[in-house]
Amino acid sequence: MADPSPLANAIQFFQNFGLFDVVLPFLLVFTIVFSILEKTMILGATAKESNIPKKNVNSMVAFVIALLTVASNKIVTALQVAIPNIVLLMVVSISFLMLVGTFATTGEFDLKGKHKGYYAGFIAFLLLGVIIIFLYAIKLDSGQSWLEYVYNYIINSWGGSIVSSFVLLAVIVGAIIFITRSKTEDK
Amino acid sequence: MAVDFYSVFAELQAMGIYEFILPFLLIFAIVFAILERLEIFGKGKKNINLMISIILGLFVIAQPEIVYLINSFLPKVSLFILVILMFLIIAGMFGASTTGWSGGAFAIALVVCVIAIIWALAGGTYLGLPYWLRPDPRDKAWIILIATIVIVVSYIGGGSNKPESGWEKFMKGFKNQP
Repeated sequence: MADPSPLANAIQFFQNFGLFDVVLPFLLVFTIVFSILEKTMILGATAKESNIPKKNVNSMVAFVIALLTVASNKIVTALQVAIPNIVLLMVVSISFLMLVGTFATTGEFDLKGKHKGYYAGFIAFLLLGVIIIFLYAIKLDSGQSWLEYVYNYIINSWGGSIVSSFVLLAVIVGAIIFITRSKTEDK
Repeated sequence: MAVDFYSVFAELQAMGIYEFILPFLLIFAIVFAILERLEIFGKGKKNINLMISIILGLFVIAQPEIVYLINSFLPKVSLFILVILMFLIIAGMFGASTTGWSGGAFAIALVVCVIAIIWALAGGTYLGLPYWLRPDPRDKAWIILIATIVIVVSYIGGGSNKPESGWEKFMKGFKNQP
């Protein structure tokens, strides 16, 4: 087997050091929570009618939430599994837009404005992708992921009353949306 | 000693540039650009966006499977862009519009792009579905059933009170519509 590259050794060192298990999840959660608190000013501003958020309180709350997150092994594992897959989804969707953009006119590619139907489908697909990735990343105590659990449940109870009811409900809602939409378009 | 491009690339590969640096830079650039554009954390929050994109980039390079997938996926997408470009050049030779597609032509282009993406995500260069998308006979039966229903419903439901035929609509899509 070939020797690992110097960069692979560096990554291995960081992995042993706990960068990916402790430091990065902590920094990610801290940054996101802190910036949301700063943006929304949920914990108030420094003075009445001022737009300066309470930085010390926000940073304290973000710090505690991030530390609590890092302490939970399952959440960190879920983050480690989910984030690279979400980024992969991002790369794939950007590549797809690049491919489709080849057929578009010069200028900013506007899928939302010019092709609303395709845009809705694209967004629905991405939403479904994100949900599936997180269901796959979160594990039960048995080691089975939520996705496997849901999938097995649906497969095993395909003929059961609950799944059949959902299918029937989906068909009815779909039919109602289809009929209502057609009427609006006719007008 | 003579230096050639082969040895330069071999050296870069041995250093791990393709495995770590390039994927990291790609992810960093994409995530940073998206965050800057969306302004999720507010205007002028470059430091926050920078931090999050660096962290996400590092998370990705710690997963060799994802890096391998990205490294095999992107060259195939580039190849397909070249194929599309060649097709557009040839189509342009015969007077077809090469940009601003719409209607049926755009729908076909979308389907082709989806197929290209699925092919690029599959392991090798063969024309097959990735293992997680390979249908078993029961899935195939379901796909055929659903496709048949959709085609029949759309055929019956649409086009009866429209003077323009499907073929005319399809060909219209090739005309430039900015």
